[in-house]
Amino acid sequence: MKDSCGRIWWLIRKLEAMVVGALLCLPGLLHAQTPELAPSKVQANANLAKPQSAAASQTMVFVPQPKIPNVTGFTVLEAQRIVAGHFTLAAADRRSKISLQDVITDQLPKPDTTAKAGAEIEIWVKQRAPASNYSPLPPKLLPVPNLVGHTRESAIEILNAIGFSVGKMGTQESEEGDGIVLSQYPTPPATAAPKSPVSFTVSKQIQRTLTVTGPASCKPGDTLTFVAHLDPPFPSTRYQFTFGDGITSNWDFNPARVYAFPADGNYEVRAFAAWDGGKAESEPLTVTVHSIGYVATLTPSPTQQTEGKAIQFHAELDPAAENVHYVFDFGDKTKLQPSDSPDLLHVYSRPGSYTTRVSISLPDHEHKIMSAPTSVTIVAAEPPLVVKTGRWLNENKHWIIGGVVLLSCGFALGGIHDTWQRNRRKLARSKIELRPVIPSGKLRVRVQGRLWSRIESLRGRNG
Amino acid sequence: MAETDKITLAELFAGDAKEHPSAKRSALGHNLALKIKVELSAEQPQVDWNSQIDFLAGKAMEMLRIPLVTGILVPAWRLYEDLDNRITDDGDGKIVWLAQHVVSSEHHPHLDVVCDGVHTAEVASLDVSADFTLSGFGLVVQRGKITKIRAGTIEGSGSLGFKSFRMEKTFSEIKLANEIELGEGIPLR
Repeated sequence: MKDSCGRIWWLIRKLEAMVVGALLCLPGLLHAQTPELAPSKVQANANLAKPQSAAASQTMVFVPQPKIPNVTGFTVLEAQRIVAGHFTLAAADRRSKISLQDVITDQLPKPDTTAKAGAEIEIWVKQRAPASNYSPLPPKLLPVPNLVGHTRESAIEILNAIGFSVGKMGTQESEEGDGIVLSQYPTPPATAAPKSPVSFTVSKQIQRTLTVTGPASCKPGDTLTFVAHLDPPFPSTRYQFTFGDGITSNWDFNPARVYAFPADGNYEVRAFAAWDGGKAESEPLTVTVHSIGYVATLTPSPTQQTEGKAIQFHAELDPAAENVHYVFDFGDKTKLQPSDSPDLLHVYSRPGSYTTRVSISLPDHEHKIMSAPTSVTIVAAEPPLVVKTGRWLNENKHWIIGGVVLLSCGFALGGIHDTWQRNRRKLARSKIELRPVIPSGKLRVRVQGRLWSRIESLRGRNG
Repeated sequence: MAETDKITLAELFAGDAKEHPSAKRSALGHNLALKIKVELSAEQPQVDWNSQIDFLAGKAMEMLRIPLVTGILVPAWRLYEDLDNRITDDGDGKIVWLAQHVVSSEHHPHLDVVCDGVHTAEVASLDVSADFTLSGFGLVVQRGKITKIRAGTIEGSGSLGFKSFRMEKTFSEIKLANEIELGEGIPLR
């Protein structure tokens, strides 16, 4: 009987357990029991599910589930404060070590989703940056401004205002005016972190030179042709000439002009050029107009000379005139050299090619005849013996080093050989004797019978 | 002829014992020196032996300086014990006349190489043999010593060999002094 009652009681308990298990599977129900069946992390809710009596040891209470907070972008330390008492944090990658200063980059479950109190929030972290640059939040990226077309100064101001730093600044020859930004890096619409550098290239306007050529002397009424040369050329360039007598030509695309001076005098002809975005003016070309056609020539001798040595210049006027005055231009940026003598010596201090001229003034001082340009070439002086020797040594250092090595080896081998020879001579000087040795020989006497035939006493013979 | 008792095999092999022409002696010595030089060059290569040929020739001849009388004949006679037994001590002395007999000798002289006093090698071992036929020789024996030799006639022949060098020589008649003094004498035994 007692055994039957025990079995019935066991079946009742089993049935009760099954019903409780089914209820636990329903959402929104919190199951708490006393004593706890498992370690609980939901301490905050412990007072919500107190057992009502010892007899009813198990009680079910319906409570709302908390929402998962946003911990992304915070450090682990901050995240722990946020979730304190409600959830726990766990690294998604269990093998990695997490520092409290690491920044959480992602989380699961996502924020604002519901979860059981005490549930684990898996987090992904970014290792802590160096202390000086440490920021709990990822930096905000800024759009890179378009600098092309701005001046250099404007571009720098723009970058500073937005928060970028100025990177490398290069230059590139361009038809643009100086200092215009031609390109940049990074280019819009890229974004970049604050204070990151932005590099750009600015324009450097191509420098053009304008020269004018034509006859240096003529008679009044002679037709002269002057030509302007722009270097480097630019398409659709217009030219203008002034002839020094108050006459100015119109702007024209033709770089050549024909002109005739009506009266005696010295005239300075200039050319002007204008193109899209640029203009240039030539140096003046002096034209002497005289009824007598003077020709000035300058003859250097020699035309090629070593630096530091003098060149003799001889000026000549044809037809000859008396009391003329000469002004020599040696083309080396030294002062113009006035002289009353047609012969002059000049020393060039640096090697190179120089264009020389002489202008000859007639006594009336109204006419200045310019010679045609003449070139002289100055070559580098022979270097001193010490320099030549040093240069030669430098150029042949491999051979010299090789020779020294060979000589050293030769000396070393010679030394070894000498030592060997000395030892050999020493050995040769050793006292070597050749001593003849004659050991006792084998002796034998062969005789028939006895050796002695007779014996005589010397007494009898002596007596 | 006072030196005739000092005739050695060198003179006998070199030529006429009476004349001792130096040219002939030099020829024999030179031949031997060439052979000895080869042997010495192997033993002492640091020495230029080519320039020492004359020196070697002299050494070769020194090896042949075996005295005929005191180096060959007397020692051979002393081997004949019967003489000692027959000649009793006699204050006045006796003269022992020898029957015609032949004395044969065989010697192997060589050169010891001594470097700074240290014997380093033995070279130039010669094979020297000679046969002498003697007639009419008498020995003066006093107090058990041979003091004089009364010379009779002696003739002989010999052979000399060293490596590939081989020489046969007939000495013909060898002229000795009639009486050869042996100084204080040579004991019979």
